[in-house]
Amino acid sequence: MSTRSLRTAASGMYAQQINIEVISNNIANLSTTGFKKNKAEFQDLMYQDVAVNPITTKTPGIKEVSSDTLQIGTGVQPTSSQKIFLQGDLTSTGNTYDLGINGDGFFQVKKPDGSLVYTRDGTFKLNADGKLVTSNGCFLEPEIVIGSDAASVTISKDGVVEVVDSAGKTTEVGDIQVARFMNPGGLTSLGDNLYAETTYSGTAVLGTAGANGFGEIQQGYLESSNVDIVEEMVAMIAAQRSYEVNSKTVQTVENMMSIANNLKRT
Amino acid sequence: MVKGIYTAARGLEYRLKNIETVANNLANVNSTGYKREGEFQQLVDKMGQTEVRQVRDYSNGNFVNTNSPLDLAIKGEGFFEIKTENGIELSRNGKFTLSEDGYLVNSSGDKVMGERGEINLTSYQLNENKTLQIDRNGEIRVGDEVVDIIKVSTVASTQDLSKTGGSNFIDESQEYVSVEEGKFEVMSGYVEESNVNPIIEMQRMIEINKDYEAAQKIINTIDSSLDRLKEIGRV
Repeated sequence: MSTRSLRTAASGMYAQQINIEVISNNIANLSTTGFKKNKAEFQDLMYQDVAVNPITTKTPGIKEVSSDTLQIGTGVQPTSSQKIFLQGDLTSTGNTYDLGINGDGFFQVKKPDGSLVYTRDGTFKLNADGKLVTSNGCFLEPEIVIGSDAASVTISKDGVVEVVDSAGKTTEVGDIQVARFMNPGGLTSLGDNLYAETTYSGTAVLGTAGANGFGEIQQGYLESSNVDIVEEMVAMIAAQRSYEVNSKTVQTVENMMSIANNLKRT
Repeated sequence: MVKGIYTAARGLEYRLKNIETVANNLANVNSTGYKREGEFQQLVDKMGQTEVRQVRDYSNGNFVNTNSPLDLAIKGEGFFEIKTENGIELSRNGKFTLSEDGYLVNSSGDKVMGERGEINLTSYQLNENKTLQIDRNGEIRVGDEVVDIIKVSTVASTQDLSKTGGSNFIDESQEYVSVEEGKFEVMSGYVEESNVNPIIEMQRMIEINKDYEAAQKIINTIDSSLDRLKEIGRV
């Protein structure tokens, strides 16, 4: 008796296990600023041409392979875990250097090693030199230097940074640009809310925030994770049930095998 | 009498093949663009020739928003044309990305076909005023410039297509024809989920299991009848 369906069901169970792992990572990052949820992707495996009916009455007892064939699939394989770049909620923090992007795009930041990476996490701070840095020490690129005698800082929706010094004089110190990609799904996650450009994502296109499809910058706001707990719970239920249903296949096939075993009475 | 055993045994084989298709449907409950396999039927024509027909359900799956512009789903009829090593294959799986050399490819790295051939996006450097957009009729535009139109094709008899894995279909005996405009919509930022309904599959599984049991009972009954036969001949 062929065990193809057992292996098919096993591949289905394995796929759902991967699915649960992705969902649990989403749930764990429910409160991570700027986190983008993942979705596991699956594809069907190869198909086999199987003879429909090997048993014929013409020559009893002799297996004659019928010319009629049938395509039978062999299961499923996980292919990728894709980031879903849907907007997260912008929550007000009131902090001057907390920036959220409302719409499409990323902040371009430079890691201490000099490489350019991208993030949606706008929790910026001032370092000792008065430069804007992310919480993990990456400089905003192009650099924004606020200076030490700033009384207040305003960042407009199109990214222009204006500093009012203690004397009441307003100076423009630079503007924060937003980077977009042709295929954001192709970016690689580096952890720490950072993404790196790949050949699949296309090169970064820098532009003025708020113009031509680039997202607006919101000062005093942070973008929450775009994980929706209800949606993840539903996905988890569905994954668990799919796992169960595949295990039912194993049980059913096992039961059929035992029936086949009982064909001969004594 | 003995013929009956073979008829019943064929019933067992037939159910076994069907449970394999159910198992595959259930395993692919989350596969992008997967189309569920129905029960297969063996038909006998006037000449006594048998023919197998496998009914495949081509109804649309759910469309899920991914917000990624290169994720495409076809609402309505038709398939994407994918250039693979086996030739052009059809697929409803529109999870596309860019290859290293700038071609629009699927997750296995096979190129997606447009009306003008393979679609290459490298020469279209995006900038602030030029963004990529894919329209409902499949037109890929960078700014105001039309790069290409995504080919959406079908065949005369979709039931004769065979599957090659990865939600792809192929049929070398039939010509691919473009689907008329208006019969489909290309939705950018969406993917089509599998159209498998686990409830229907579970119901089929129960049915097949019971039928299998019944066929076994028939064999047992015939077997015991044959047993009685010995007693008739006893002197």
